[in-house]
Amino acid sequence: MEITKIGSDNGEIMLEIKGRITAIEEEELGAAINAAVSETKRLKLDFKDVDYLSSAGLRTLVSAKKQMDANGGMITIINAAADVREVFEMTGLADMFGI
Amino acid sequence: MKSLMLKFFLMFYIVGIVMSAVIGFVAFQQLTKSTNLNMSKSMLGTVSLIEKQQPVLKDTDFLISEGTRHSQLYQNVLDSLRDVADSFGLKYVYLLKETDGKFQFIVSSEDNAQMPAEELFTYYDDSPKELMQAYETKEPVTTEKAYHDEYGSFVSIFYPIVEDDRVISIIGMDYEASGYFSNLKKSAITMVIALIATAILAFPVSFMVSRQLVKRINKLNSVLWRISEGDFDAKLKIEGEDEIAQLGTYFNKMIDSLKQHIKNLEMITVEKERMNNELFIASKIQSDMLPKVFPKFSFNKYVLIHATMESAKETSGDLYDFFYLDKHESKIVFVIADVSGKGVPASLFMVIAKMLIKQQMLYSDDPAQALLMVNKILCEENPQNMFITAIVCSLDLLTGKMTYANAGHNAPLISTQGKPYEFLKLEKGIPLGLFAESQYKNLSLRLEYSDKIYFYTDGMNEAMNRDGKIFGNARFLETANRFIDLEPDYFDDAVRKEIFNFSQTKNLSDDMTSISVLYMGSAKFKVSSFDQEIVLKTAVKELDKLLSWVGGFMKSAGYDGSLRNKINIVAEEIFVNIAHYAFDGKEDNKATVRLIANNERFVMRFEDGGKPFNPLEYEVCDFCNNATERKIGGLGIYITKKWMDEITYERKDDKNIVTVYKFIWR
Repeated sequence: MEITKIGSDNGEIMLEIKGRITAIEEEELGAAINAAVSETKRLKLDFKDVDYLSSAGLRTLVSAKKQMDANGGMITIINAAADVREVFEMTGLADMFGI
Repeated sequence: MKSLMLKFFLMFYIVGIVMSAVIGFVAFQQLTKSTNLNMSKSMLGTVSLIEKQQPVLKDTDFLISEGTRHSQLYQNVLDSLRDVADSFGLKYVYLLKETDGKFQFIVSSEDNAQMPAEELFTYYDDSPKELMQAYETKEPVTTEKAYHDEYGSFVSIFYPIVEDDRVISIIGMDYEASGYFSNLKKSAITMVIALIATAILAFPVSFMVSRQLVKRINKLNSVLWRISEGDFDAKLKIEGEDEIAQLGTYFNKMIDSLKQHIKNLEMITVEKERMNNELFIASKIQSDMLPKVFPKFSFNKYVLIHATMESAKETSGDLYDFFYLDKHESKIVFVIADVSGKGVPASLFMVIAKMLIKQQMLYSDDPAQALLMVNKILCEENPQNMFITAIVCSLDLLTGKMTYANAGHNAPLISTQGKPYEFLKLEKGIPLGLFAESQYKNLSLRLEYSDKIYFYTDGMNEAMNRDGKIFGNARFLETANRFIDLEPDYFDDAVRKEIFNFSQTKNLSDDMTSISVLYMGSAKFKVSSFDQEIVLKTAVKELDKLLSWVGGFMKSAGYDGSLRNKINIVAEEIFVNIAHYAFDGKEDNKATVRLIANNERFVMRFEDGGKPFNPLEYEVCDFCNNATERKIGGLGIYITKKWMDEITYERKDDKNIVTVYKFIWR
């Protein structure tokens, strides 16, 4: 998994994530998102190149979402591929991340 | 019918004629006798008259001297004798004198006084014996029959003249026999004519009488014929009071009771028919309860089964059964049992036993435990003291592990690793239904590719022939080994055929039931890309290895991206759960993952030696629209349950076994 952070003028942060998100990557993903959450209230995750997401990744995303909610911010996931979107939809988390 | 009339006719006719003939004969005899008697009486009268009229006949010496002189006196005597002979129709009347045992004629009606003396006084040389008899008895004697001498054929009387108790002379009188017999002959002819008349007359009489007799018998016959044609309303009209009328009365009575019997018989037959029908239905229900569709070998059904039950009576006391323990058909249970006794009671008991065993096995998947429970239940209410011998055997088709327990049943045959059949080692176990406290023990072994088992009841190995000889275990084992290479259905047929050849009868002495099993163990498919196994350390970092192995398996099995992704995610979720919870994160333990795929389904199995951990008991997120209330830990199981069709968990041999199934249609 590779994560590329892209900042922007209006304070929005975009994280481009590439590869597989499994329990192995959970920690790394969690650290990157948590860092971004502390920096911005508008976080966008680009899942264009994510081809695998398990519950470990979901868990990380959900705890980030909780934290962002407490801060009054917002996390959005964009460009989710079909397989990944199916995971979100099946778990009922799609709306939560604006998918 | 005609011949009876002929017989009657002949009988009457012949009896009539014979009787007439006998009567005629007897009458003729009587007639002859009386004629003789009459004649001898009249002759006696005549001769005594002659004696009185001619006292000179007493003086024979005087007569001889007169005769010699040709005197008138002698001539007069001759004339008077001739007169007597003429008037009484006699041939000769004469006087004889006995001299030295010979009889000399003194005077004879035939003579003439002028004849010389030597012609007059001749000797009677061939005199009949009655003459001597008269001389000796001094009584008159009549000849009974006609006799013949030098003078002709005669019937005669000899009358001795006795003085001072001495026979002086004998008067003889001869009737000519021909005259005597002509009367009798006339009588005889009359008799024969009467006989012929009788014969002619008897003909129509006999005919009429016999026809009259047969007529009534014919009437009886015609009614009988109607009855024989099924007309039981036919009745005989009774005429008169004789024996034939009596026969008719009894006959009518017989028809009435016959009618009643037939009515009863019809009722009994209907009732029996109904019972038979119900027995047939019972037997049908019973046999329908036994599985009839035998699994054929397919990609993940590593087993071939064939079972047969042949009953000695309409219903059977034997039982076979097999069923899967889970809907994925990875575990199968075999049951074979034999109820004491046969017929309806045994079959009822058998049905109960079948239900109980299946229920208990589905509940516990533990043969010994199932037998224990079934035995307890059967013992509670078993006033008939019936009992069942049974073997319950559970076979894990994925691993080949077979667990079995015995309740007094005979040992099945088993063949492992291509070796000949032998008797399966059994714990003894007491038959079910006898003692509530009976204990049962499990034994287990692992079946390999091509191993075979043959379950059977004692109707097979103890089949009896007509001489009471038993097939026997040795012959049974030898027979099984002769056909060891045949597939279950052919094998079972061949063994049964041998048993029937031996017993030489289709009437079974006992129910014959068997299950033949061929295990096509999974070992054969280990090399296949559709059945693979991997052993991993229980560390999360092994995930990469797991996922690429699963990915590779899915790819070679030809599954598309979406399913591959789902299986990958499920594999990760379960593996991570095991790593986290079964081993508390200790990483140097091992877990085995096995994947099996075919056209119908996809099976993934996890086996680990960690502490008991059932992922299914994790609470699942059902209201996922509120992120804060979600139980994070259950998410993986939630995904797994959503995507997979079935998840099972079992704890066995200190191992956690989680199996997931996904049904697919390609």
